[in-house]
Amino acid sequence: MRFLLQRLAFYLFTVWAAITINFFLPRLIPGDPVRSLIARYQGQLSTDAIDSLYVLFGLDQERSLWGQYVDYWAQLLRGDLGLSFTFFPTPVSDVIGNALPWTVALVGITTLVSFALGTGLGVLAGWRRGSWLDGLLPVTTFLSSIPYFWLGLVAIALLTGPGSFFPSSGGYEPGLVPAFDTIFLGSALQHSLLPAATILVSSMSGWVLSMRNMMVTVAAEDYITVAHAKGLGERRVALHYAARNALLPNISGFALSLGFIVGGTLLVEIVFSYPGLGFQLFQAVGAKDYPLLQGIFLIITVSVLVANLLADLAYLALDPRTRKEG
Amino acid sequence: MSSPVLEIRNLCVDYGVGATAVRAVRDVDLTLHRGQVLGLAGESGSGKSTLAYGLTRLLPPPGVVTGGQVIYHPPAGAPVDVLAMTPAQLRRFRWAETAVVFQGAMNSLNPVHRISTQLLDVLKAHRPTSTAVGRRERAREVLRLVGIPTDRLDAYPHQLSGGMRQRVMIAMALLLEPQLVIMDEPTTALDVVMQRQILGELAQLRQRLEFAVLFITHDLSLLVEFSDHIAIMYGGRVVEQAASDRLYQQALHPYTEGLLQSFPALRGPRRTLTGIPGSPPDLRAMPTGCAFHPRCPYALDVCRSRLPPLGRPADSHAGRTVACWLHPTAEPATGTRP
Repeated sequence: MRFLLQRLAFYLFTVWAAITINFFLPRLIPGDPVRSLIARYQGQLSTDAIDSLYVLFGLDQERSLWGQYVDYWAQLLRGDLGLSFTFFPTPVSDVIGNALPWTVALVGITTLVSFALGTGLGVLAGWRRGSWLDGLLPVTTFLSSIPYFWLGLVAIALLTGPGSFFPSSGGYEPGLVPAFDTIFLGSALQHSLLPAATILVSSMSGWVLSMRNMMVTVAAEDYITVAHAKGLGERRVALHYAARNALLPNISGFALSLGFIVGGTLLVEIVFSYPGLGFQLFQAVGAKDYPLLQGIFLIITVSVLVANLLADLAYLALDPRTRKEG
Repeated sequence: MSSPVLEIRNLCVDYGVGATAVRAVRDVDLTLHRGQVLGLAGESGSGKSTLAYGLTRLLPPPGVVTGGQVIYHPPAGAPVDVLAMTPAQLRRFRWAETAVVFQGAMNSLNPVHRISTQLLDVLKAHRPTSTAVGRRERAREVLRLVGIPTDRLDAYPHQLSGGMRQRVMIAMALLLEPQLVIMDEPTTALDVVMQRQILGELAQLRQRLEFAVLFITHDLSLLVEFSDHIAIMYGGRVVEQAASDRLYQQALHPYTEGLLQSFPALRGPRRTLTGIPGSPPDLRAMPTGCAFHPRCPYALDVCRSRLPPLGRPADSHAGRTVACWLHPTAEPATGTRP
C-alpha cells in the first residue's frame, strides 16, 4: 500500500512537471500564435481584433508569466484547453475528442492483438526451440526492422487502387455521417483493415522475438528442470513455470506501448490519412496550431503516465518479489 | 544388503552428436540398493552430475544418452528400463519413484508461485483423485518433516532463506514417498553450519522413511560420513568403488588418495594437504590408457597405453572395485556389485 502511494505521488509530480513544461514550451518558441494567425489572415485583422486575440490566447503582455501560469492551470482544471486555430474557433478539447476514438480503436486494438499474438508465438517458438518455428526468427527480425510508414506505403501501392476492396485513405467512406449503424461501422472497419495489418505485421515481430528469447533464457533455469523432474505435464511446465516468468520483462514494454497508443502510430495515420490523433498532431505542426499541439502533448503525456501506472500495478500482481512483505 | 533399487548398466552420455560429440560419461556401471546411500564424488567435469541428469532423462540438449540401461526395480512388479519409457510412463515415474534435489537451492523454486502451489501441483499431477484438503494436509506433513513451520506454506520463495528453500525442496522430494532420491550437491550453495544441520536431518529422515539416496558431491569428506558406499568418478568413468569406511582407511586408486588428502582429518596426526597437481582431463582429447596417468605420481608404462578395467583387485578384500594397474584385477568385473 505504501508502495502504491509512493508511486502515485511520483506520478502526480510527473504530471505537474509535464504540464509546466507544456506551458512554457510554446512560450519559448520564437513567434507566437497570434502572429501566425495574423499571417494567415494576411493583414485583414484590425488592431482591436489582434488585441482581443492576444487576450483570448492568454498572451496579453499585461499579465506576468506567473499570472499566465496560474490562468493556465485554472483553464486546465475547467477542462478548457483553449481554441484551436486550424479549426478556429473550435475548442481544442473538441478536436481531440473527435480524433481520439479513431486512434484508440485502431491502434489500441492492434496493440492488444499484436501483444497477445506475438507473445503466444514467442512462447511457442521459445519452448520448441530447434523446431521449424525457429525458421520464423529471421522473418520476424526482418519485419520488425521495417518502419511502419514504409510498409504502409507498400501496402497502399500494392493493395489499393480502383476496384480494390481496401480504401487507400480516410477512416470511413467520405459520404457517410458518423453514427453507430452497421453501414458506418462496416465502412470504418473496412478502412481500418490495411493500417491495422501494417501495424500488426511490424509490431508483432518485436513481441515474438523478445518473448522467444526470454523463454529460452528461462528454460535454462533450475526451476524448469525441477518442474520436469516433478513429472508435471508439458503444458503446465511451459505455461505456469516458463511463460509465467518469461512474461515479466515484457510487461513493462507492453505498458509503454499502451502509452503510445494515444500518440498513435503517427506515421501510419499520416500515410493512410487516418482521422486519428497522430494525423491531427501532424496537421497541427504544419499549421503552427500551438493550442492544439499543447493539448495533444498533454493527452499523450498523461496516457503514457497512466500506462506506466498500469504496468506498476500489473507487475505488483504478477511478480510477488516486487510486493513489500505483508 | 538387500535387493537393488536402481541398476545402471554401461551408461554413456555424450554432449553433441556426430564427430564433435564429447563423451562425458563412459560405460558407467553402478548399483544402488534399497535404503542405501551411494555417494558419487569427483572433481568438476568428472561427469557426476551428467550421470544423474542422464539417468533421470533430464539432460538438457545437447546432452544425449547414447547407450546403456537404467533399470529401476519397483517395490512390487517387474523391473523397468527408465531409458526406454514412453513420455507418459516417464511422467508417472518421475518424482513418484525417483525424486531429485538439485544443486541450486536458490533457483529450484519458481519465484512467482507460492510454496503451496508448487507442492500441490506435484500431488495434483500424480494423485489426480486426491481431494484438495487431503493434498494440503500432505503438504503440511512434509513441511513438518523438514522442520518448517506449516504457516510458511503460503509463502513465496523469496520470503525464505536459502536453507529454508533447500528444506522445502527436500520436503517436495519426499511428497510422494519415492524409493530413490537423487541429490546433486544439495548443500553446496549453503554455509557450512546449515550444510551440517540439513545433512543431519536428511540422515534421520532417510532412516525413518527408508529411501535410497544417490548423493553427488565434490566434497569427499561429506560423503565419508554420510554414505554407505562411495563411487569415485574421473574423466567420465567410475575409477573406484568401496564401502565408505574402507575407502577412507585405504584408498586404492591414486586419484581417490589425492582427493582424500585434499581435506584435513579431524583426528589423528597432522599431515600436509597436498591436493592433486594438474587439472581434470579435456574430454575432447582424453589421454590414452588410464585417463589419470598424466597427473598420477605412480604412473607405470602400461598406464599410458592400456585402459585399466574396473574390477575387484587381487590384493584386497572383496566388495570393492578399482580401475588401476597398480592393483591388477583378480577377476573381470561383471557388473559392480559392492
